[in-house]
Amino acid sequence: MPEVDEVIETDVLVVGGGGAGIVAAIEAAKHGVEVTLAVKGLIGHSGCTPAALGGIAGFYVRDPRDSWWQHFCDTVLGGSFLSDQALVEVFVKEAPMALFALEDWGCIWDRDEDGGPYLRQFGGHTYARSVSSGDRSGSEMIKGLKARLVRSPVRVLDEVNVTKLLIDARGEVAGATAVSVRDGKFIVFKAKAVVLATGGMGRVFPLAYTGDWNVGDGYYMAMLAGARVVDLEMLQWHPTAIWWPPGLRGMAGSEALRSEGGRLYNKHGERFMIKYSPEWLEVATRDFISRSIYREYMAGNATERGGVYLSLTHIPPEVIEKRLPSMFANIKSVGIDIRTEPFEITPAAHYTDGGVVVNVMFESEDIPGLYAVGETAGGIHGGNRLGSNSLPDLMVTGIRAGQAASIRATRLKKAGMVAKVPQDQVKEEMQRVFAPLERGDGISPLELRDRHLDLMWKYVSVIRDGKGLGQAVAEMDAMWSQELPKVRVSDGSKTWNYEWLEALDLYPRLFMSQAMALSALLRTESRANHYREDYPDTDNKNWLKNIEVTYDPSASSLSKMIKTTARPVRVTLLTPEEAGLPGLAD
Amino acid sequence: MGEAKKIKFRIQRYNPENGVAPYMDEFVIPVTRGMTVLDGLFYIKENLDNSLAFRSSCRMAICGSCAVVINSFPHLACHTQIAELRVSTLELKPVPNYAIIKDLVVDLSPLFQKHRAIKPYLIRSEREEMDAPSAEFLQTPQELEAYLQFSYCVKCGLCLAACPTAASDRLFLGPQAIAQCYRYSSDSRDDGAEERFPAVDGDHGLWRCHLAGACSEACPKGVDPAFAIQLLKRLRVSRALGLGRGRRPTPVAPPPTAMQPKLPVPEFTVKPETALRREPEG
Repeated sequence: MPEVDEVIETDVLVVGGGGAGIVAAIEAAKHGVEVTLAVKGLIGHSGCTPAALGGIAGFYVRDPRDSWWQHFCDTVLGGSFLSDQALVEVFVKEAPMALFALEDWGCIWDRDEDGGPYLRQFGGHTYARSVSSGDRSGSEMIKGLKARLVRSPVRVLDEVNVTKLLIDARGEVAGATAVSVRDGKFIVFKAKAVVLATGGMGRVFPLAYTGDWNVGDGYYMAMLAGARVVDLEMLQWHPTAIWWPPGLRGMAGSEALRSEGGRLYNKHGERFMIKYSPEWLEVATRDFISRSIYREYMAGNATERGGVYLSLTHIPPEVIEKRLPSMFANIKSVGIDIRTEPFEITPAAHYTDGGVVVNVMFESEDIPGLYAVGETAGGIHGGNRLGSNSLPDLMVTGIRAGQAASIRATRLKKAGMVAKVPQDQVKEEMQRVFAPLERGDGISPLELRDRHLDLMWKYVSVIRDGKGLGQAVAEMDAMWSQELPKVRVSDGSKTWNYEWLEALDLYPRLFMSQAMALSALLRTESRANHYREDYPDTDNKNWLKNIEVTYDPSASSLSKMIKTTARPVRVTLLTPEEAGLPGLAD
Repeated sequence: MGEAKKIKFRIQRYNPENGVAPYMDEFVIPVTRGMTVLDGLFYIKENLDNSLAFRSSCRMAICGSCAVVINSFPHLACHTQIAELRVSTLELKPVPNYAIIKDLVVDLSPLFQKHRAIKPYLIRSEREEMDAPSAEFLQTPQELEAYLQFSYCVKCGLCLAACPTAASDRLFLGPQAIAQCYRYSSDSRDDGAEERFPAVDGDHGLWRCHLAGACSEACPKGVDPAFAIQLLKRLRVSRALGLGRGRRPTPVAPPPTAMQPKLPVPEFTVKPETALRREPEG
């Protein structure tokens, strides 16, 4: 039986080192509490923030027509009315602060001649209200955040995989357990507050824009601890991720590729958008294009490599060079000249709109002391996130949660409260974590992962229907109860063992995928990012509701462990009638 | 796919758990057009040897995780085409000047410590603005252009791996940190050059650079740290001579003067404190 190798006491534990985690840690440390930041990868080098291209939205005084109210309405309507309006309100009111703070931390923006930041307009925003740094805004942002982090007393632990939240007898957060990726040490954190900043769950699909390890482990840990998670069926798809050449697989293919006249072809050389949308062709909306491509796959019209062609060869070469310089250069760097040769694209998982159910301080409504920030928090984006709303989201949620966590830690410290770590939970978790290393014989985690990815892509992705979802639910039940307990890592090494990490990630992968499938099964309509072939219309009369999932530890099968409930959306400022949603009456 | 070609990967292996000295391991993998070295590593990890350890995250040369030495030259694995190298055997080793954790994974903490030492953030005399910002700073496109190139650094550590001075002097600050010292000190919003100089003045600082230029050759983002180091030398000397001290950092943006009446705004119905389930104290 392995032992606990290290016990780390801290006031606030932040899990995840992307943008939101760094902001929360900085903010909490500002208020004089001890903060530890545990990151699955390297701080600032992992997660999705560095890969974000777009911009940072917020109503800035530079445009007198704009207001927080306008940004609020854009966000709520863009989210198909599923947003938690109380959260959206604090988000849009504080988003401009994100810019000021980042500016002071040394981030650089594209500038106007008068010295102020240059504002860009993104889809769904009524006015130009996003600052950006060319097409590397996230990268610039993470530099600013790291610059601020280095003058902050936060203790950073790189390459530490947090696996479970510890809950004390009162039902409050007491800490977490973790294993070090570098040497397999089992670590117990004692903490007065835990901030989850673990990103989304895009990697439960074969192709995703998110970091390699974003498999929903934050949602999983929160659910197991007793928190509710909401809107999981809403996962954003981006239609034109690069599929071939392989060196760029998973890179975002800019929207400009289509707006500049790029054409989509299937393996027969048929321009299939003529069939689906003769009017809009390739400039139809993102979700429509994604579904059209997916229909081609289902009809067996994918290319031999598994994508569809995007061709620009009919466009004059000088137009490509001038209008699409970075796409041209990027693809050229892997040896393909888009002026003369088509490449292949496919839809990719982009952003998980849902997340942990939180109040306006981004504390879980169910577990005192547990906070969720960035993509891990649910509610702001509803069914669909607007472009450039995610970077300010991580600033606002990070700052609020960091403040609240430090207030809680200070209060508990003053009261002389000591976190009591439940030893039975620690023991149980240690067994689970080391079991795959110790089994003599069993199933390969990579093989199970690949089969699960296929299953998700087939039944739970761009186009869903009741039958397919039912099939996925049944198969995942079997994977969970029959295969997962047999998963075995071939190499027993505890140092940087990738297969072991994959084995541990199978738990959140299967659990959260099942929660997503069950939520999708319950929502018998199509809305925003959720499309049901058997219910293709939006039903505003019956479905202005959020679907919440909770964990029932007593159930026998995975699908019974996850309870789904639909509850009416939270409306505070803008009613569906005022917004003029169609189909409300009758 | 018919276009696959066989390429040999010779990879330096090391696992601290078994006490065996680093040795070279060989894998032959099928390589198709457009495949990067990182794709090759993933192929090996998923199909041939699950125990191979290397770092990666974004696969698009922006996170700076996958620095590795390929045929004696430091590269980002995700940013290097196998076909472009025009060889039938690739030799992969962990980047030098860092301690090895396992296989191709190294301990990058010296890089981050050196980076931290030069105070890589805007320093202004108005300290309160640094911590509780009130508005944006002003900066013209020209002022931005002056240091923009040096801000492209993703802290991948390739320059420090390539640096011959760092190889012989472990304490040398290195091209990454010194270039970032220049990047912040030349930012028109910054007023902290003097505060950073002590960090680069010492025996292991700025003046140890002997202009090999290996850093700039290795940089995948075009930062040209060697050039930044020379510019910093100039800045350092001119400040020592009392030149350029008059420069003031660009101001914080003034409050807007011409505000239009806004759209009708509803009452603020949700107060954060009442929406909270439990009121935080203190």
